[in-house]
Amino acid sequence: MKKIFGVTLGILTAMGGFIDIGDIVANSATGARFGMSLAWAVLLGVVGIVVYAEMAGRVASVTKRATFDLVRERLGARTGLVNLGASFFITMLTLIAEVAGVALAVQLVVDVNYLLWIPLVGFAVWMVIWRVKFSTLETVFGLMGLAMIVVVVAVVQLHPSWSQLWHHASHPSVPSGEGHPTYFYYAIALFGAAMTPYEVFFFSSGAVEEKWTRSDLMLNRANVYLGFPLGGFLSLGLMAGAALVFHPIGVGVENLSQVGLPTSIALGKVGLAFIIVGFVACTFGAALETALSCGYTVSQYFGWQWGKLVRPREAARFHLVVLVSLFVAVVVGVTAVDPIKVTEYSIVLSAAALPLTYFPILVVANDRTYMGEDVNGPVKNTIATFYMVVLTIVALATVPLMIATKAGA
Amino acid sequence: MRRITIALLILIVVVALIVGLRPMTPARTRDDFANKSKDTAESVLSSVQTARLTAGVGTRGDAFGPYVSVVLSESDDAVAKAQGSYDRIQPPDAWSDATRARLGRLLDRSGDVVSQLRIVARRGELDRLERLARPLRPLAAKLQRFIDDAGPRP
Repeated sequence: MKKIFGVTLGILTAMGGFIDIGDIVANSATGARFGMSLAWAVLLGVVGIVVYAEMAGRVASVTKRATFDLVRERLGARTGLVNLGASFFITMLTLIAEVAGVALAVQLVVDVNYLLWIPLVGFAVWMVIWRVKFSTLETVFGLMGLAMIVVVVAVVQLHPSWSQLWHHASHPSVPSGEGHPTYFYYAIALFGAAMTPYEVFFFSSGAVEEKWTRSDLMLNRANVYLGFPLGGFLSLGLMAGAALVFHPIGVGVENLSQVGLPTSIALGKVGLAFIIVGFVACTFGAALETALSCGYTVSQYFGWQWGKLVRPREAARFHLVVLVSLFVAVVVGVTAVDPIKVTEYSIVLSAAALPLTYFPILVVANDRTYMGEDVNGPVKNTIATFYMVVLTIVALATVPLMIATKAGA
Repeated sequence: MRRITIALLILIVVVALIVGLRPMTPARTRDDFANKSKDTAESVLSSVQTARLTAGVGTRGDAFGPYVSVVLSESDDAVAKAQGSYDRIQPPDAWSDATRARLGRLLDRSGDVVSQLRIVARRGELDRLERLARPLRPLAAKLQRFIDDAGPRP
């Protein structure tokens, strides 16, 4: 029974971690602009995060060491520091976006400017990190995140032509009036949103915090193989809703509020209530994960004591990094910087930095001195190597495409 | 060498970030002005259609008052922002003057209707929204026609 609960817990955690403000906005925006013709990028990203999160979880279970601990060891102090700088910057951008995302979701309920909510959201995130148990945190936000299933129900209720949706998804093409660079820029945004580095930082650190061992490898697989695909399914639901309602009439998604419209049209107030609860849960859960990830990466790089399960007095520097990161996120958030723009930057720049995060995981997962008999098999290595090539191409193409397309304008 | 590489990478990222802010640059040619006009029309069409859909769900009771108010406020802001940016672009020739005048009328009318919707939604009179939004359908059609007609000219 405990194991079944553990699997359920992990599924919910993985799903909550997968659907964040970046996924919500990117999937809806691409559905509105390109219909279902970029569904392949979501699938590519889901398979990628499944492959590498499983590896990160396995490495953490066997070695009892989280991703960034290994990054420094495998890349050396200097290159590891560059990696830390890039990863921390991107996770920080994501944290700003998530905190603002919670505030934007609350604004939809009370119609009070989101800027006023940002400090309260920052305080609430810190309080939850400080006071709430890791398992409670996972269960509550994971369960609330399940409210996002309403987007799939809404798509069914919109009575689409399934054959047409499938045709658009399975025969991807660049819509008329759009250029190839813009199409691939958005593909990278979707891919980056699916494979955001903080997901593996949090997942592997969480595995260490929960004291996973070799006997938990099945639990790791169940979490990853069920949780992330469920998140991907919901991403496709968001994309399909926008493709059905917005794409035919020329609406571009530029605000979180617009994402709720297809659900509101299909299911009325009940559907809208569910999706807003889903927005709050997913963005708040992701804010917790990114804030903790800021602490995890810095502490693991410098070899400090870290973790939520460690008493704050014994992991003072870890908690200080989390607190300062949240403070910076709140300060930047209240400057009225466009949170959707920050989200776009965070997912696109994530894509540019992906090999920095995933390469060390692949190396360690193949190292018998660390992993013993639990090293990657040939099938997993083939898929992981294919993804490393994709990640490298994506990383090299991101910034030139960003400049060439004026960030997808 | 390592420092130069890092500096170069930082420079590229900064340039990408600035470009990503999509600053409105001057239109030096007719084609340039036509493209900017088309982009503006697309942006306003998006806001007009969003407002139309929102007015519908508001009147039918399919959405909460605060939600309707937020979406319409954001649509109103988006129209005003697009209009403000477009007004500041210098038209390079007589053809551009005519294009500017044609699109300007559509933007003014769109802004008026969406603003009215925002005001009514904030007063909580959601049942009036659909009737007030009726002009948005022909406006959307005209904006779409403008977009179809727009583009580089000989």
